[in-house]
Amino acid sequence: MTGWYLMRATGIVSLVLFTLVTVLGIATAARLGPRRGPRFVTLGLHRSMSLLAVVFIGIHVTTAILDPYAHVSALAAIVPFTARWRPLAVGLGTVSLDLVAALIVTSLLRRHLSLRVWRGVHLLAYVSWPVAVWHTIGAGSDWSSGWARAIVTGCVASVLLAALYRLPRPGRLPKHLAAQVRP
Amino acid sequence: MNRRRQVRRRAFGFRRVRRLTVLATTVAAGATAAVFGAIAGHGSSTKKVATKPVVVKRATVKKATVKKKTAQHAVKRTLTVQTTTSTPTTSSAAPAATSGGS
Repeated sequence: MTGWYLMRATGIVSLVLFTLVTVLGIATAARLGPRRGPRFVTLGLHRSMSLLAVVFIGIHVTTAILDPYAHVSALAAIVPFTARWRPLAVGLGTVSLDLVAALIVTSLLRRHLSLRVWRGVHLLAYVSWPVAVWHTIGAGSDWSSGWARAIVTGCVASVLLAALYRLPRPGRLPKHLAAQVRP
Repeated sequence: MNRRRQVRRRAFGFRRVRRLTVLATTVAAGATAAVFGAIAGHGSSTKKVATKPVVVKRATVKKATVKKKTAQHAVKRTLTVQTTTSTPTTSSAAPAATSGGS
């Protein structure tokens, strides 16, 4: 049962880390930084947290494949909607994993790609994160417990707040453009 | 002077990124261990061990059961034997001890 428990624990922590990475990504795009210190701290944290999240997602997927109780085949971890147990919920996790893999590969090959292609693929994070939340709700065994619901609710609220801040408001220019307009 | 301040600021930023990364890694590992412990602890406490009902015979002595007889006013101690059926649900649940006495 160790693998089963480890899979569930890393799944919850992966969602929290993925949320943190998404919020930091939104903050980087909105050119937000710490009050004291340079702004590249946000970008550096976004990169290092992404690496950490990938490690935890890797443990989550590996334990899901190796644990006999979970019944997730290696094929189901790569190809969506091929799992025998809850094919929709597990398949959503696979979709999210594939999208994250695409984000990582394009970020590693960013020097060889155009900014438009990299940006287009990177915007898939806005699809990957909600799909991961749906996977947590649909396939998570701990969804019935209060602490898991509190964690997921906190994750959703933080990303929604960050996205609302990021949305362009009428009559307000982004900071970098406003600085150019001012005399 | 300005250049020196810029270099110092960059070094401060890199140090902050490194420290926060180490902190986040530690917190994530600790959170995993905590969630693991919570799940494992919750799982073992609700695990059903016995599925068949266990029949426990228990003898109790009812004291101070005073019955007045119509003529003699005799005090009588009555012994009753009760048969109860209980189903333990947790692993810690042990069958009730048989208390003797007649």
